[in-house]
Amino acid sequence: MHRISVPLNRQQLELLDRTVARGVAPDRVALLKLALRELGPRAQRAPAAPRPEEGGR
Amino acid sequence: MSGRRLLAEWVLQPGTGKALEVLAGQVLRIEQVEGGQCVDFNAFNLHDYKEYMHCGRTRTVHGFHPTTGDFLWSAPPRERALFYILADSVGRNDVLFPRCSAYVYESAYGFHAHTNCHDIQAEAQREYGLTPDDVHDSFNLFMFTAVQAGGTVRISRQDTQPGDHVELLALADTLAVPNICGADVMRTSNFFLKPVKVQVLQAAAEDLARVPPVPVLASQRTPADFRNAKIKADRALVRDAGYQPQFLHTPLAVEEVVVELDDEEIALLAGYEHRPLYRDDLGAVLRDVFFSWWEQRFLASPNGAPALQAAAPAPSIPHDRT
Repeated sequence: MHRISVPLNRQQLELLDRTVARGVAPDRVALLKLALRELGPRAQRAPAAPRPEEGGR
Repeated sequence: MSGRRLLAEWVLQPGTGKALEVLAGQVLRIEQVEGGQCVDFNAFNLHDYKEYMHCGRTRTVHGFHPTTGDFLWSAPPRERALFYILADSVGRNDVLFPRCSAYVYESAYGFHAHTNCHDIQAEAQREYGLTPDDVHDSFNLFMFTAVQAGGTVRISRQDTQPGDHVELLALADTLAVPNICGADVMRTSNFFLKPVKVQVLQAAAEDLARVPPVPVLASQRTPADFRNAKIKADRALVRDAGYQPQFLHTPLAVEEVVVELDDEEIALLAGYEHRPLYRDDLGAVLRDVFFSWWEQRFLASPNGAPALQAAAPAPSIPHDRT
């Protein structure tokens, strides 16, 4: 297992807690892991493309 | 439209503007007489001039060219919809450009004096006791503008025709100030200034029925919520020796939430598209993942109003006083 510390301020934590309160996930940690599982596969890095200023000159 | 009642009518002449009381439930109709004329527009809460139309908020919500179905918003912290755009026969209005000013004509064209929207607005607003410093960024009706590649902006000639019009339904009591744009040496009004007809009408029931619901939120504050609600009446800025800062939620404490990830999850995190922004700070990467996910799942309107949907968790903590 890999231990990750996520720094969040009180406002950010409030949003997590309100989302948990809606029943989306049982707690903060589960919510963060849910976000990773749902978003992660859709948001993987594509192969790097040359920047416009780097190519074609 | 049947059911409307004409309350007042003016034909604004080149070089002029007019401050008009347009009350909630009334329609301000601005109509081309000859065609090809840009009209600049300011608006204030009639009962509190410190609340005024805010082009920045409006363009954030509706884009650079507000049109039929969009709102004109007031500035933070009020952030109310002051007007609803009922009709727009052209669909090319602008909240990108500022009003033209005397400086522009002197610096770019060498005029010592020239009609300009700032000074026309100021003169029209003077009828209600406002000063040149009260003129704000204008909603530019019938102004054909565009953002070009590289981020520069451009004004084009317009092709509006006689009878083309914009209709604004007041959602609050307002002082509405349209003026004939003073730019006769620019493309804005096709290099000539023309009159424009302005009408104030009592809205018909079907006009009112077209306005979608707008949110009423605790964050829409009024002077009753201000720590300092007194309007400053002298010009110099002098420090308040007794001032104690009361910034919201400060100090903004940070707490670490510890998450254990398995190999598959850590691989997802490592491959996240925005990871390079955070180098090796995987906690920051996971934070980005969470808020990006939350936006996608719950944020109905990324730029805020008008249609906040109930899917987002409701705020639980009332705002502090401003």
